Formats: sequence, structure tokens, C-alpha cells
Amino acid sequence: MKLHTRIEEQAFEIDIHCSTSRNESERRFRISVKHPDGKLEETEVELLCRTGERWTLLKDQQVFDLMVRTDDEDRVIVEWHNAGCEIDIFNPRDRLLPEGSDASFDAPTVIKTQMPGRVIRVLKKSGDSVRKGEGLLIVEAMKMQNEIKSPRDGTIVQCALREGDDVAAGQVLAEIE
Amino acid sequence: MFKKVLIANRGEIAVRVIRTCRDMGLKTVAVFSEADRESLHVRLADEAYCIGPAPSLESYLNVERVIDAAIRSGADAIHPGYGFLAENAAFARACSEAQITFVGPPPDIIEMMGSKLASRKAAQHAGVPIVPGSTIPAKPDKSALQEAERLGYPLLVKASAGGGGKGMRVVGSAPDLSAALEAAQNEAQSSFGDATVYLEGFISRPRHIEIQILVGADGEAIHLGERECSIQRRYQKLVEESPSPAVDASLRARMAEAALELCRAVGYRNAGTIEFLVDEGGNFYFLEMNTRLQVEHPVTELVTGIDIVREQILIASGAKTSVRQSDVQTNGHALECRIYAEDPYQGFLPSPGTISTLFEPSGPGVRNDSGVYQGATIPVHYDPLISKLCAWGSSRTEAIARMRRALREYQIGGVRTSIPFFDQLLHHPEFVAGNLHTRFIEEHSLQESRSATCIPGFPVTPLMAAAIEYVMRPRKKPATKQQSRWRDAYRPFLRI
Repeated sequence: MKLHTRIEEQAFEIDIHCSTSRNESERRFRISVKHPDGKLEETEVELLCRTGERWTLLKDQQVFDLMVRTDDEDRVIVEWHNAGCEIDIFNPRDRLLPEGSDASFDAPTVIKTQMPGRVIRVLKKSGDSVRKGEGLLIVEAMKMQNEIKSPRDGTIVQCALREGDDVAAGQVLAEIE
Repeated sequence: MFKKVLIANRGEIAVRVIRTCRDMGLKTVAVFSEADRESLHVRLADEAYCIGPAPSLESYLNVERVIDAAIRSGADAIHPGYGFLAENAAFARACSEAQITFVGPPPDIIEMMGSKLASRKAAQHAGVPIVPGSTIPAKPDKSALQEAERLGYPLLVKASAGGGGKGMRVVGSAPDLSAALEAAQNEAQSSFGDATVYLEGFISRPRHIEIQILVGADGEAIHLGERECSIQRRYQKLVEESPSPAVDASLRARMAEAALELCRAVGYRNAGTIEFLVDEGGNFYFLEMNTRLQVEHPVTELVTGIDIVREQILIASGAKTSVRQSDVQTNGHALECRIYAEDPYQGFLPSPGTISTLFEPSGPGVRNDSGVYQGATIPVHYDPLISKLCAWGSSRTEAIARMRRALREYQIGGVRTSIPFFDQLLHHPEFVAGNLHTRFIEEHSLQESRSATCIPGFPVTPLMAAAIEYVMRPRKKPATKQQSRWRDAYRPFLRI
């Protein structure tokens, strides 16, 4: 899985593969980290043990006894020896999927982006009825076009965006009732 | 000796007192508010009584309900811990009216020491040096200005009934005096119901050093040496140690003699603490007397081997102290860090919540007086103290090394804690050198978080951990309507 991360204002790209299945007792990961300067670092890590927020990783026979948690914005906070750092981490594809994909509730569902991008096409406008899985708009971010699909059946009550509009992270794309 | 002791408190100190009662073969009675139904002190006691809703005024501070629980349980003694009703003379009187022994000094002495003005007078009469200033209330008129001129600026306006920095103002020069008097009086009135304030000289960069005393039922007074509590934030102690790196045998003897003199002069009984300020020239001045068990009593226990709670109970039952002065030997050095559920890097903002992960330190020289367990909740209604982490070593250097080790072992998830702050403090060269004073934290600006760049292999190691967390994160799955409603009921932030 390819992931984008940001730590102390620097962007890193990560490619992570689980070497063993999650059901097995050994959890090994092959991870390559691409630094902002293009340098590539490849390592293998084993997650020895996880008790709540406390994780023990083994990397090149070095033990890393860390506290790992997420904050309200899904940032990962890693602490070691009482010093910590916040890491923004996301899958560029996931960030374009609407939130609340399990929606089937009566209240309006708000669809937001988590990444900045540009609206390429608007497929539905206010008042249109949509079926679950139908495309609403296409947003381009990080050079990838993604179709935003409706998470539920309903009617679009709000979709103020036009083609060519820039959207910020967290901006509302549409509201479905 | 008593048969059953009610502990009129909560949290770590209730747990602490229950433990000594167990050691002495005494039955224990816990009281709890509705917010503390699942608290550790309740789970450890033999009996427990709910004494009301979460707000302290309706439960732990409600004299009637505490006494009622004591009568119903048949307890023959009440240990008040610290805080809440511990220095409430009316409560001590209510105990004796109900024919239950209050573990502490007589009510009249609690009353006298609860007034800063009265206690300063008592100290002065006993020949104990007091912080320069008045022993009469300050009036917002010419007399206050004259008194201020005599003391010199800067000076302090202090509430007589005060404590914890409330009802206190620093005055830099004469034009600010009347406004400071008024502000302090208003604050004193609203916080303590007593607007009396007085003027006190300002001692720059003082150390806070206190003497632990025990007075047996026979009136024989002994001291257990000193504790230094100079590491404070907004007049709240954060780190305490014994002995003080600034006290030599001669100063200790003089301070202890002054403290014992005060105890004898007022007819004190049971455990107590006389607090002094020590200036840069090594002169000491009486600050106040605490007529109860101190939060930081464990550091004294660690260097003397004396269980202070046991002494309190013995004395309350009519006995002498179990040791004489000549038997009191101190050994090594002890430190205490008060671990709070608060975020040290957001102005020590309280961080109540549920402790989801808990690994407590142990090993040579480590004592952790805790009031929590994994899964316990830190309620919003009370002081967010999680535990008092203490380390003992044969020297101050060894005690510091052990405290650092314990702070690294101590892992608490679910709430923010002051552990990272103490980790930094215990590595600060001035702390290690023992150069302490009450403005240490402000002057050394210890409120910035340590950079993560000290993590070996930074930034790859934390990045890897984050990536693993991400791939193992449970994904949102499509749910049926009913499941979705159920989840919403429990996770209000799931949906926007």
C-alpha cells in the first residue's frame, strides 16, 4: 500500500507490505520510505506486541517500545521516551472517498474531501435524485481523477460546486437527504 | 486501638490510608460520590457508602453525609487524608460530637493554623522567624501605605484564609497597592468567605522547605527532617524531595527546633508540617503550618522508614509516637513527582478521560502511590492527580537516575499526563545541580515539548509505526440501518 505522510513539515512517501497474514502471530512489514530528497530507505519491521497504545517494534534487532495513538483528525502520534511527534498519514485514494460510507440514516449526509484538489466534472446538481454508488462529481488530486460516489439513495440538497473549482481539505462537496 | 476507620477522601490518598489500615489489621470504610462508583479506593475498602452526587460540595465536603456514613458503618475513627475536610475545624468538631475520633490535631489548632494571621502571631510568640510583614489585617487606607513603605516594594498582599496562591497579589510599587488590596479582598471573599488580607515582604527566588513533625498523645514532639518543595507551578507543588540539597546539618537543626518550638507552644498533636521559605542567604521564615498529612509525605517515609499514616492513627488512639527522636535516622535520598492527567504542553490543561493503557513502573527504589487502574476514569470533578511517583536512592544522584528510569517505564494511554514534563525536568542541569527555587519552571521555560528528533532513526522509525498503524486501522464497513443507529448512539462523532 502506498501512503503519503508528513512529519514536521516534510513529506515522505511510504510503501508498506505485510509479509505475513494478519491472523498469524508474526506480523512483519516490509517498508520503504522515500525521503523528500528522493533517497530511498528499505527496512523490515516486526510488530512484536501491541497492548493498547503501547507497541513494541523490532527493527534490525533494535527494540522500539513506542506509544502510538491517533488524534481526532486521524493523525498518528508516536511517542518514545516521553518525546513525541505527530504524523499526517493518508492513502491518496482514500482521501477522495466520501466519509460515512456506511450511511443509511435519515439525517442529511455531508460529503467532504480530506485532500485539496480540483473539481473536474459535476455529474449531479441540486435537486437530482441519486442512487447509492452513483457518481456525483469527479475530483482530481495528486494527478489522479476520482469519482465521488453517493454513499446512499437520496436527493441532493446542496451541491454548489462548479467544474474547475478548487476544493480545500475538509470542504463540503455535497449534501444528500 | 480502633476497629474500623472511615477514610473521608478519594483517589490515591484514600488508597494510601486504606493500605496502612490493612497493615494494622483495621477494617476500612470508603465513601464515594456518584462519579467515583468505580474508583480504586472503593474497590480496595471493606465497606463503602455513597455520599452524594459528583460535586464535592454535595459529597466529599458534606460534613453531615460523611458523619452519617461513619455512624452507619460503626467506624470509630475518621482519617480525612488531605484536602476536602482535612483542615476543617467544624468537621473535626462534628466528629467528636458523634464520638468518632478525628485523626488529626484538636479543632482549635486547625482553626488557628487555618488563619495566616493567627498562625503568624503564634509563630512569632514561639520565637519562630516569620516572613517579614504584618500580623494585623491590612485596611485600604493610609495605614496600609505606611506599612508598605516600611516593608519596601515589591511586596505581597495575601489572604489570611488563603492557600494555593488564591487571594494573593504581587505589588510592584505604591500606586498599585490599593487596587491590589481590593482585588485580593474580593478574591479572598469569594474563595474563602473571608476578605481579610495582610501585607507580606517579597522574598526573591526563595526555596520552599518544610519540616515534618509528629506529636504523640503525651505531647512529646519529634521531627522527621525536611522536604524541599521548590519546584512549583502557580503555587502548586510538582516535585518534592528529602533531604533538601540546600540544607546542612546546622540549618536542619535550627529549622527543626523552630518547628518543634511552635508545636509545643500551641499544644499541637498528631502529624503536621511547618512550611518555611528559605532565602538565598540561608535565612528561613515561617510561612504556614499544615495540620494534616501532606501530599508529599512519602518522600519522608522513604528516607526515615516511618509510616506516617500509622503514626497518625496510633497518636489519634491515644498513644505516643512509636519512635523517639534519637531513633529517627534518615537514609539516602527520595524524590516525588506528582503525575497529573493534564497536558504540560498546553498550559497544564486538565485531561480527564479513561485510562486505556497503563503500565506502572516498579523495581529497585520505586514507589508509586496510585489511585487508578487500567480502564479507570479520571473524573472532571476533582483534582486530576493520577499518582505520586517516588524514587529512593542512596544518594540524590541515584534517586534521580531511578526516577528517570521510572518515568520512562511509566506508560499511560487515554489521557495526557505530566510525565514528559518531569522527564525533561529530571534531565535539566540546574535541577541535577540542586539549584532550585520557587520560580524554577518559569525561569527555565520548561513548558516546551521535547523534539521527537531524539528518537533513534528519526524520522523513519515513527513513520514506520504510523504506517503500520494505518494499515492495521479498522476500516469502516457498510452497516445495516439498525447497526448504524446503534453505533451512532455510542459514537456521536462518527458522522458529521
